[in-house]
Amino acid sequence: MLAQQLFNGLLLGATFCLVALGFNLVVGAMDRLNFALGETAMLSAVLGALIMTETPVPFLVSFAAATLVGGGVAVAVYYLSFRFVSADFPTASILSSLGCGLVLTAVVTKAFGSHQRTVPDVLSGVRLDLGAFTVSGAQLVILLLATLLTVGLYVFLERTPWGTAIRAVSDDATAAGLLGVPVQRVILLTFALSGVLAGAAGLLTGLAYHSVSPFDGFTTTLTALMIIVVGGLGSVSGGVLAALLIGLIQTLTVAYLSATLRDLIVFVLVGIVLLVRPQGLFGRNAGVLERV
Amino acid sequence: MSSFNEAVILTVGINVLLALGYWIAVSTGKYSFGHTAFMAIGAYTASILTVNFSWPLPVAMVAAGVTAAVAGGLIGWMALRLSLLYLAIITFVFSQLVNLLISQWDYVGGASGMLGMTGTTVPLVVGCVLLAVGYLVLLSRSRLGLAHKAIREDERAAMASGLRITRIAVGAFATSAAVTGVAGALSAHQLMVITPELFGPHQALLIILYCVLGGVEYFWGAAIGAIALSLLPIYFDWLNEWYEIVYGLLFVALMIVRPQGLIGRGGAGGVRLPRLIPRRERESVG
Amino acid sequence: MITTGTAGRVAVGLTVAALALAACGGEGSDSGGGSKTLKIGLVTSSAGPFASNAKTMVAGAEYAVKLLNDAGGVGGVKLELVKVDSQNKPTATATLIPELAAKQKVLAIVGPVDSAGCEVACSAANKLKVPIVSPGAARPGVLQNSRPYGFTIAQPDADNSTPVLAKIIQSRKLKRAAIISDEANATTKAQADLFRKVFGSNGVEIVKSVTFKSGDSSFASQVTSIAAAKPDVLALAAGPDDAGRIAREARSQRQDFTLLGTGSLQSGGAAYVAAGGKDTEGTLAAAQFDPHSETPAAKPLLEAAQTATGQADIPLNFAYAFDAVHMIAKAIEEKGVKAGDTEKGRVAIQEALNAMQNYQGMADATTFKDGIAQRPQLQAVVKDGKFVIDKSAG
Repeated sequence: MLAQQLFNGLLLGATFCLVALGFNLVVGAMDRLNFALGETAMLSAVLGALIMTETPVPFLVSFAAATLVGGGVAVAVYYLSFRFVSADFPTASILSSLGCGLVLTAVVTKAFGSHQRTVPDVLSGVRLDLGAFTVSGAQLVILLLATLLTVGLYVFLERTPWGTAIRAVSDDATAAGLLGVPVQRVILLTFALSGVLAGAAGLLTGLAYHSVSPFDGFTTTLTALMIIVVGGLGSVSGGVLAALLIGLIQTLTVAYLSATLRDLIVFVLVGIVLLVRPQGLFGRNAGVLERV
Repeated sequence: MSSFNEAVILTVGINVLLALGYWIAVSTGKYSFGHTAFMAIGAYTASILTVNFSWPLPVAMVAAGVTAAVAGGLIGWMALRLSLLYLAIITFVFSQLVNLLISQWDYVGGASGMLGMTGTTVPLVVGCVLLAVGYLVLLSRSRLGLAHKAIREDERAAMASGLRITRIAVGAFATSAAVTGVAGALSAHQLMVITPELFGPHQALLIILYCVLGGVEYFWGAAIGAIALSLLPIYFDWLNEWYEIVYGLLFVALMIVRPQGLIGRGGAGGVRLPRLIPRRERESVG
Repeated sequence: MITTGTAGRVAVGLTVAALALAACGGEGSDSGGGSKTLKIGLVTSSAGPFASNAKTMVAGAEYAVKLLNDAGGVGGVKLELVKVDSQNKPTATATLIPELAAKQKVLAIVGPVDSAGCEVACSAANKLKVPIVSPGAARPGVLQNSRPYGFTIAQPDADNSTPVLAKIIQSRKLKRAAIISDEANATTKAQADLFRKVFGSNGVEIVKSVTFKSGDSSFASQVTSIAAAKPDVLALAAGPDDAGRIAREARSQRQDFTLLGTGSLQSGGAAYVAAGGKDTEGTLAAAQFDPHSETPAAKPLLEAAQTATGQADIPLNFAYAFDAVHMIAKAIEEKGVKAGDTEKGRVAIQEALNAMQNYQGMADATTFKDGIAQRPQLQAVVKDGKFVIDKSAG
């Protein structure tokens, strides 16, 4: 049973990982948090699930649609809550993006009702029995897509000119601008990417949970926030490791203690990390905290 | 007075008290994301005292304020030296912890909550608001008020001027918690039912919104924010199903047009030092 | 020394103007007291997890008022439904009830549909001496603070489900049980306690108890733990959405134990089946409402409602709201309450509701016992994608 639980935890961590990466990108680019990202993930998941149930298209098409929706919504949020909102007031874009999140949730409940939406299974016939634990088809798809996106993002950031530009802006936007990097366009790209990741995370989480609720957004945001604090703000590899760690902790808490303690244990972990190692367990840059 | 007008005054008054209480912490530049913890502590302390020990409500409110102040002092002492994000997360975790403990504590009904409280009256609420306003008027004209402002504008400079910033900030946080606790007690005795759910992240966010919508520079900005946000849903109920969408868009628009809130000066916002009182600022150095 | 820039003054001016306007608007619409109709308040919520249930309730109440008015109203006077929206916020409810009572001068109130909302709304209405009937609040002790003016048509699970669950355990020869519950939620906690009691008194061994948190979690971990204990029945102390997802996770882990729910699961049956799909087939539950009742009073009402709404199964909240409006109308008629006579009328309606015996409506027979409806005890099973009442087990 332990092996199965460890696998469950890993799977949960893999879905957390994507949305946490989305957060991290935005923190890197603007030193600001996009609090509407959880709702972006929720909206993409709802629309993705809708395509899956209402049309006969293969899963990958609905998945692509969900990522596109996520990217589009994130860009819209960028224009509404970041582009034209003064950076002098740290609370302004936080409130504004919270407002966007409120609108997204309300729009979804208006359009599709407040009930949870079922996400149909994929590859329901497939079932791998690996002795100590079994893997269902859906779990296989989740692991595969999450790994693909994470590795893809890493390669994009490290190996392409646009990825280099994103890292340059995240290190020092002013200097990058002086060196001829089109800062505004890079930031726009960062938001779009974060939205794509959030959209993917939303639908994959829906697949793992079998459903998506219009009220998931805030929880998603909160979990992602905890992960990026533990992993270190702005650190990609730290975010991945922290997501897996928190996924494991949550699963094992539920399995061997109680679900009521689940969030609390994560919160306590975050509190300890903040007091003992403020740059995050895996972060290098302690200075970034001062700027947020 | 009809029971409707009475209820409106109670609701608005309690929200103003919450906003004013929060503003005291914000006046030192410290944003808490878990002020509902103090609200819950106040609400439950007062309810236990009035329901189980038949204390009169005003006395129970004092006890609620004191308990909340002690909790606020402790948390402030632990967390206030840290930066914005740390403080935000630690206060949030604290509020979740309080919530969890209450929902596991059978003496106060656990997750189903307590009921049977009653007795919040208009004079009581108005009296509390007037007391808080009186304190804040005195505070903004005192050296302590200036010290708050100095810490908010530039902590290092304030420390260099010889202010004991930790002590002042913790004091402000405890006072803020006390006012919030009293508001929680009043709210519990108005609603007649309290459950841990009432003191969740949603309510915490509302308190912050009151303050930030009105603007954090002057305390009456926070009060106006609370009044506006409490009256909107009551008198604009014809918006009905579109309410949340309109509400969200209002915030988006406001933050583009006036990121400093309804009340407050524009320009470089919190970064620039105020020019109002340069001479007195000098005095506090010596 | 308070000074603001021009922009600040403009903002203050605008705020004050807006507030003044709002206040005037409020005063202007204050003239609702003029009494051409019999007013009934309806507390709904367009936000939060019970928004769908609230919508169903509104449909039921509106349908009831339409039927009554088409038939000439009550004693020749038309009914008017005054809808207010609490947005699922208790603090909003605290002003909405006084608004209905003092500004709109309603004779009685229907709603809210959920227990948490009812606790606040019913206490407030009771304090203002306005009769209030909730078509769905079933948490134990929900009316503790709201008597004699508070009523609920839904009976708490503890009283309604216990005998039915005992019967299911005996007929299925269940021996090993697992319970899954949300400990931080008052309603599901009460359901778990009910299951423990029923299992204990019927000789069923509880081999595993696991917990979850509503709404946000994956159930993989819980179901893996349950599977390791090899139970032959899993008791679902969970809201319908969560229960549906638990069912899917259990079946996707190839577990074939029986799924068992209380009356609440059947009342949220549509949501349960929607969330759980075909994996919910065969789920057993206690029930207090039969959407295809054969009783002479309920059958024509249900059939007419089916034609009017186009729904094959009338939801519980629809029928309960429908009956709530009719009970209030019956009380008004019995006592001859006049539209303008608000205060005396409310007392009369309260007395009539408390005295109402064996009311026959869309949801079969209802009798209030200390404000809580005593409902039929039925057994339900999920068959072909919906809960059906197992009449043979009656």
